[in-house]
Amino acid sequence: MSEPTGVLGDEMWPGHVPAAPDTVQLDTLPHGRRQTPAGAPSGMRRNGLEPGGERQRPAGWRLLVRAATRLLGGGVADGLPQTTSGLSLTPRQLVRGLSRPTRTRALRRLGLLPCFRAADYLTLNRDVAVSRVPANFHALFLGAHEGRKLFRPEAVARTLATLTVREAGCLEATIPSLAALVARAPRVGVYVSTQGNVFMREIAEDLATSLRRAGVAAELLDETTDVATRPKLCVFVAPHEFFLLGQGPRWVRDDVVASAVMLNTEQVQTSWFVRALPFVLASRGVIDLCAQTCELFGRTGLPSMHVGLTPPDGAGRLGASDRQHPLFRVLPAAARADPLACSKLADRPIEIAFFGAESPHREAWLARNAGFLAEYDTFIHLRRMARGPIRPGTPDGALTRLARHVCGHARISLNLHRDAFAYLEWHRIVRLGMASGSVVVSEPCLPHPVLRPGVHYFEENTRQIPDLLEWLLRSEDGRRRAAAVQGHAAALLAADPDGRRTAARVLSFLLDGAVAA
Amino acid sequence: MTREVASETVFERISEPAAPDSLVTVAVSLHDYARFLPDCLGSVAAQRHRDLDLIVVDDASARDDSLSVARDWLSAHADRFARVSLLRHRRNQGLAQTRNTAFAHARGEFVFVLDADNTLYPRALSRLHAVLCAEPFDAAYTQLEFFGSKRQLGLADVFRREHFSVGNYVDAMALVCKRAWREVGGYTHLDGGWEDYDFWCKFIDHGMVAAYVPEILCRYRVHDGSMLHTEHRDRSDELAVQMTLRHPWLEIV
Repeated sequence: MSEPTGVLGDEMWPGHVPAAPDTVQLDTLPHGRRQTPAGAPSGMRRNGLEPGGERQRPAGWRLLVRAATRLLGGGVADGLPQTTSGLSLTPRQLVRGLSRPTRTRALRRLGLLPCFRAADYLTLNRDVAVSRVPANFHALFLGAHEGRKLFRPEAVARTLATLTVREAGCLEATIPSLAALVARAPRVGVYVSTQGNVFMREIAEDLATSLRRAGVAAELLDETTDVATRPKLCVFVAPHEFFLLGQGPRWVRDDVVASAVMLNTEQVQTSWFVRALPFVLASRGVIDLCAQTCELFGRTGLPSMHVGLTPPDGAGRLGASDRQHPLFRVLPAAARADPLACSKLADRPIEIAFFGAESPHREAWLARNAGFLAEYDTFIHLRRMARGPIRPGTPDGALTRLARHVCGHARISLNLHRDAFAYLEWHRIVRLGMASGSVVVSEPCLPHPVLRPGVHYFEENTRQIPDLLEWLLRSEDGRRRAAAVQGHAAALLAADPDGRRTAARVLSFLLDGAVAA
Repeated sequence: MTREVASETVFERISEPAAPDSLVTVAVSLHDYARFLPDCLGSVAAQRHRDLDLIVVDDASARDDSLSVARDWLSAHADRFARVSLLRHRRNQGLAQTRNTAFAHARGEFVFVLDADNTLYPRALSRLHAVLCAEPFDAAYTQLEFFGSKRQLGLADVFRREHFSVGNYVDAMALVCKRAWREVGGYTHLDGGWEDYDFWCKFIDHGMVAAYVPEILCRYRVHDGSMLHTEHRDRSDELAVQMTLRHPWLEIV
């Protein structure tokens, strides 16, 4: 699938400045929570839209602008659609930042994405059909940015159910020795947005730490740093945040995106995944924490790799200010010391722990089982008053560390999916639960190439989870079985205690695997 | 509060004349809820926390036999408590004053606020009491389970001014230090309701902090189309104005 002929090519823009401006709107609520940025029109003027420029534009562009403006539902600033997304990046910056070959490659990959069908997109977004903008182009460069639905939920479900996950993701080659890889490795930049979710920073820290421990000159960097002096190898964690928030639009350049590897953190059915899509499909490779999503990208011809990152020792330990957090101060005295992942289940004062953002699915289960849970010592934090992501440095920035602390004192870590898409959420199940030494009890998950229900964690349907919890916590048989699963999970994590194996796989992918098709 | 509203003691039995060290007083507000009262009081009696005073304040119930149901129940279960008291307003005073009457009568420092149609799980008071004994909070509350005509979770989360600025998310069902209640001037009657919201905003105004205990230990009964809900809905604009006048930092949406 190609973009509209002769409409958006760079050659149509004499004097085009590819870099985004330094002045951007910062006050952004990602993750679908829209907030109209103050001064958006003037910001767009600064984005290279000099007065009078409209006269020089080709008819095709004006047509596209008019069509897109209608779709965006916003006013026209300097002849261009006014963003309604609340994000720093405008669709125009996105399109102009990428070269025609890169855009064409990304559009081709979109066409190969198993869960995407142009007909579905037009059905889901009926206004697009009358816009004269080709569906694929609209989906990737306008619709994705707006957070529109790109896929039918049933199409996503069918795709996830039929993908076969493999342990090494799409990287089939045998991993060379770490020393040989390190010897060839240039400086690596692991980038994460300063404006994004604290979970993304943790993932970036885990990756950078693993690479550094392996001997690679890896740096944890962000969007405020100098683009020109970036390392040769760049990994952008959570591109849906990095390129869209704060100063991220400065990085929407062909030489950056097309040569970089993206680390996707999002589930396919979400608007956040959709927002990441233009950058992932335009990149030279993608690392994904989810085996199914990795395979999904692999079907498009995009080099992809599935990886599970484990936290380095000591990561997430509480600081002095964390211990003043109101949720720490309500912990029982026995749950206040630094936890040990190897502590016995019987010695843990909290019986059941749950952490998660609110969702109807989670709330329904918790409400249905409130009477059951009330009989146990629990820590159930369904984040209710969320206003956007959990950002580092804010009062809620401690929540992930607190969650890990609490799980380190909990016998059971409960995993409830956000919705009907039953992803095995690595961050929650492994990084939060298993790595803390608590036993994970989950709703049924999509298959994982390594983790096995009944071996490394427990699975049960939502109606029978209380029975399972009661058996694990109250019966001798159950306690023995829980201890065995705790041991299996610990042994699995101990197989790569310092992350060197993970580093070798990632490095191999960065150096040899991620070569754009 | 500058004066005590007239109330009469209908029934009282004292098992322990000296208030126990770990005393928690449960203050039940009652108005025409005879049908729900035994469940409510039964859940109080079933608390694992041993040292309890129980005060029921009947706000001049007129449409059912709330007063006699309360008197019979307290008489039958008095041995469970260090003290049981049944007070009655001579005329209907509203929910805020009903709670204030109970607080004024409480002899302990920790008072749990409970409406007669709600219930508790057995670990509720012991868990909240332990938190207030361990840390210098001014009150403590748990997550709620909504039951009745709707089943869902409450809105409770960490106690923060910015959360309150757009609306209330903490119910009255909380263990409150009597000192804090006194310092903020007790509950204030607002036409149409929202006395809980106002109470917590006064905590914010006084620099007080309540602890959110992330366990689901209290149950809030949701009524289908009750008068109270209808009145709240009809008067919400007026209430938002009243609240903003009282707490100008609010930005109720």
